[in-house]
This record gives sequence, C-alpha cells and structure tokens, in this order.
Amino acid sequence: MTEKLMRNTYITITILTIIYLAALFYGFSQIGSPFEARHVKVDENRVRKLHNIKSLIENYYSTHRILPQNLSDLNITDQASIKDDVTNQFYNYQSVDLDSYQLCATFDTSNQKKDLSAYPPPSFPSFLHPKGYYCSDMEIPEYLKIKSNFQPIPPIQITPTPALFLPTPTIKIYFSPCGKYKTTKECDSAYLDGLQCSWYACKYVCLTTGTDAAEVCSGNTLKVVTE
Amino acid sequence: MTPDNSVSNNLPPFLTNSSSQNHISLWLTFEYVILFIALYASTISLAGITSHAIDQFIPDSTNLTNIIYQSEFERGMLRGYIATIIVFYPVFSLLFLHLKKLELANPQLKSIKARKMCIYITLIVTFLITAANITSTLYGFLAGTTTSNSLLHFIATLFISGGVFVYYLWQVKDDRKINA
Repeated sequence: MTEKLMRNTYITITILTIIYLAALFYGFSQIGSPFEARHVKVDENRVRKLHNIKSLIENYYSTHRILPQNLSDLNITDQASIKDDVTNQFYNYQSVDLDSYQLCATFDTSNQKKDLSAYPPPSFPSFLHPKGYYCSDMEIPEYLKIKSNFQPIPPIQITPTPALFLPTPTIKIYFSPCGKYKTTKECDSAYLDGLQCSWYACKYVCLTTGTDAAEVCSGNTLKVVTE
Repeated sequence: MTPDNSVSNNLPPFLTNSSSQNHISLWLTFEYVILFIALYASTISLAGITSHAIDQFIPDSTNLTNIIYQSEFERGMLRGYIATIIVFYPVFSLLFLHLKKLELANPQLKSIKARKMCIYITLIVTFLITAANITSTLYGFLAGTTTSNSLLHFIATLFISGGVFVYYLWQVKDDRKINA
C-alpha cells in the first residue's frame, strides 16, 4: 500500500515536472536566450546615450549657432556619457553640413524587425539600426535652425540725453535672428555693445562712436566690455 | 510550539537522533511552510506562463491595450515567472517527495499543526480563486464579452487552482480516515 502510494507520488511529480519543463521551454522561446537579452540591453543603452548626445548637440547648436567640430567641444564633464560602455571608445560623430550630422555606433543586435515589441525602446521608436556599425543621419530641428531668408528690421535711432563730460554716442538697435558668427560687421562699423541670444532671436545694441569694445562670451550671452 | 512525542517516537533515525524534540517539530514546521510557499510560487508562475501562451496563440480581439507596451510588460513578467520556477519548483518537488516519504512511513506526521494550517489556507485560497474565476466568466458570458481567449483563461485557471484544491481536499479526507 505504502509502495503504491509512493509510486503514485513519483508519477505525480514526474507529470508536474514535464508540465513545468514545457512551461520553461515556452518561456525561453518567448524571451530569447539570456545572452541575446544581454546584447539587446547593451544596445538599448547605446541608443539612450546617442539620444543624450543628440540633445547635447542641439543645446550646443542653440548656443553657438553652429554644430560642434567633435564631441569634445560639448564640454561634458562625464566623459563616460559619450563613450561606448563595451569598447570604451567615443561614439563617432561627424557633421555633414550646417544643420545635419551623423552619430555612429556598433550594435550587437538589430531592432529593425517588424515586431517592435521584440525590442523595447518605446521612448526612441525612430532610432532603428541594423546589427554592426551603423551611422544614423540626424538633423537639427526646424525650430532651432537659422532662417536664411530673414529680412532685418530697420534699426531704431535713439539719441540719448547728453551727459556732462561724456561723448554722446548714437545707439542703433538691431533685431535679427541668431546667426553663425554674427559680429560687429552686422553693426556697420559700429561696436557691438551687447548681444542677447536665445533660440529665437538676438538683440544687437550698437554704439556708433566713441567707445572701444572687447567681446566676452558668457553662456548664451555675448557681452561686450566697453572702455 | 510544544514537542509532539507521538510524532517523534515514529520518526526516522536522522530526526530522532536530535537532542531536542522541539527542534524536530520546528524543523518539520519549517519544511512544510517552505513546501507550501514553493507550491504557491510555482503554481502562480505556471498560471502566468499559461496565460501568456494563451494570449500569444489566441489573442483577445477585444483587448485595446497598446500592443508594444503590453508585450514588453508581459515579457518582463514572463522573465519573472521563469526565474521563479527555476528557483522554487525544484524546492517544491524535492520537499514534496521528502515529506511524502516521511508521512507514509509515519502517518502521525499528518497531524502536525503547521501542515494542517497550510493545507486549510491553501484550500481557502484555491477555492476563492476558482469561485472568483467562475463568477467572472459567468459575468462575461452574461455581458456578452466571452471570447475563446477568456474561455481558455478560465479553463487554465480552473485546471491549475482546481487541481491544487482537489488534491488537498483529498488529503484532508485521507487524514480524517487516519484519525478516525
């Protein structure tokens, strides 16, 4: 009787083990091997970093109105954020023209499958890449780009109240979009007194006579020290 | 917990050799509690994987949740189920065989309080799951939302929780025979 009950127990456990093994087999067939999952995770991290670099480049562009020459121009304190975790090399960056550039990396897997759920970057659905070395073409967003057909607004003439013992310069104020390397030339041989840059426009204040100036860059603002 | 002398008298040598009778009782209690925890973990994981398989092969046409996000969430859950089975199922099967051997050799072991408590808790929980499952399926049928997918989910849950319920109900009846 006892032996029969024990035999039944063994049969029950054997059947249960088969059911559980089948469940495990199905589960592994769905999630893939752990090595494959590791490669996918590493690639996810690469995509995340490339998007971070893209944001940094756009920030740089909005400030300097030009693409950086290389990634070191971005002045990042944490160099690891622009390096590949596996190879420990900097991601490849190259500017193509004034507003577009390429970011390149070597990927272990492809996420170009039709089944997007097989690769989980819902935050970055546009960044599809094949396996191996791949360069993604990127472009500065429209709202950051310089408008080439901009017509400057005619300058406003301001004559300040004459002060005692001081020259009375005529001040011209120009409004124009932020351009690349806009300098005192914009002010018609006048000195650039102040330039306040933001992503949409710059305000130039020009002094026509009587001062000397030196440009000092500080963040988004190009300050001019007058003497 | 007080030592059960009637139990310890019939225990195999490796347990009766212990210097403390308390230790025997506590050790068996520990084994039963671990057995039932492992049973719950493995059963829930098996039910989860079965549910995933049903959704994969016979998708629910009325489910409007975003496929990508849902799929990724389910993939994560599936990893959790697999890891749980890998850890808990061997524990369950080995403890089950070990304790079954002890019970068959010493039927008095079946009267250990911890074992009885675990069995009754399991009976209550599996009964509630089975009853809730039948109720929700009946509700879906009355509301006209029954699909082949929901029917398969119902059958799978009924089979798994119902199976555990029937097995331990049979154990309780068997215990009563011994105690009679």
